Amino acid sequence: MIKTDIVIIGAGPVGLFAVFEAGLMKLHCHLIDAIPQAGGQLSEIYPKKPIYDIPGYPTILAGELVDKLMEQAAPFKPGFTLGERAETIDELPNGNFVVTTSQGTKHEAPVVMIAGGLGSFEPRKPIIENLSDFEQNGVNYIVKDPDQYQGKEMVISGGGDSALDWAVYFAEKNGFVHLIHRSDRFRAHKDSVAKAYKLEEQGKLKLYTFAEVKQLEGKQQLEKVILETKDGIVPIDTALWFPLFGLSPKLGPIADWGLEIEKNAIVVDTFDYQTNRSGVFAIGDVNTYLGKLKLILCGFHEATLAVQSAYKRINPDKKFTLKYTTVQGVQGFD
Amino acid sequence: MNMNLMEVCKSYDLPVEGVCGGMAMCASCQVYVHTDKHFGERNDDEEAMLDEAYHVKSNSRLGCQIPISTEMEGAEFELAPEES
Repeated sequence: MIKTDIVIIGAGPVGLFAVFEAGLMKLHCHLIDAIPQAGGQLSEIYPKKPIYDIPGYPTILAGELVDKLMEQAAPFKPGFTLGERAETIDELPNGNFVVTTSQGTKHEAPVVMIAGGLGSFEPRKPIIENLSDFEQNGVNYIVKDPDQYQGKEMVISGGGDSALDWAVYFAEKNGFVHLIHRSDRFRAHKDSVAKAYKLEEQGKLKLYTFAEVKQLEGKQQLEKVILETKDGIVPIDTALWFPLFGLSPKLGPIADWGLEIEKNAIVVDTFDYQTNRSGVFAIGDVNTYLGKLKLILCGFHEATLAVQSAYKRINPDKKFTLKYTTVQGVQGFD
Repeated sequence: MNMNLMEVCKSYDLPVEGVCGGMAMCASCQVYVHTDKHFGERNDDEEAMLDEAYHVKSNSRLGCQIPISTEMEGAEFELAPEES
């Protein structure tokens, strides 16, 4: 059981800044995120886009902002559970919460802050009738433990960086890759696309453009994918298909935590951004209230106020006076 | 205000997610254009997103890439179904 002062669900910019504010008040934090890296929407959707409305930064790339927030939080040594989705929030008799993830990892704390943004990023799944029969049975939406697939023949669908990078990776490692895409235009980096074409010339990869996997066949395990191409139906024998169509956010389990939800967002009290569950806060894009703006800078403010209330819940007998960082500096944890 | 079609839909609380906020990095604002009028061509980013979107038709556009203009008078747009 991971024990901490505040479990933060969501390691995006607002969750990361909450670590800093909590650290100033000597509170330890542990963050959970469904994707394998910190940064939330910034790292997942638009790392190279400049943001113009972060106070103090006329312009800053989204990915750089994440790096700076990580640097700012570092003295307070946050823990991370990444690549696992928070599934449940249960209450213990002592008033603490236990947050359990999709992999069964448990986190106990007196306070939970949901900084879930638009929801957890989940793979976009293709529309195929018997798809669920083959999930984990040949069809995988993420590549986990790539070593297990080395030297194998496989089918990868997609036109973005994920599909191209993995296609190139496995083709270079002596596998054979069938790369399927609906057009001949790729969203991926030009260099990756060029590499894929080169690997095709070397006979390590086959590119199918204007093609789409439409059917899956197999008895207990995936055995074949059927493509619809501009030249007709093409079957490919394979036990591995990776549909890599990117991720999209879904509210998911958040909707089942007994919270007041309005238009896919968690209703909070603007006094301290606490939800209807005492000790559970919601900060950033995931919350809603009269006048809410889904801006990172608003989330930063919400995190700061929420942390004040968290402190009082954790230290009910202690008095607290706001101390400016210009006075106390930043005293990191040992 | 230089609004685009996605923003207008959101401001009227229509079921348009606009996940990426209008950067042509998702396809949650996909619309079908039911009119002979022309509202510009799909740019490269828009084409790339529609290449991987679901329920795409020949008259698909991303709402966030269509600025509101007086030419829209009388035009009909249909919201594409949500992905799932």
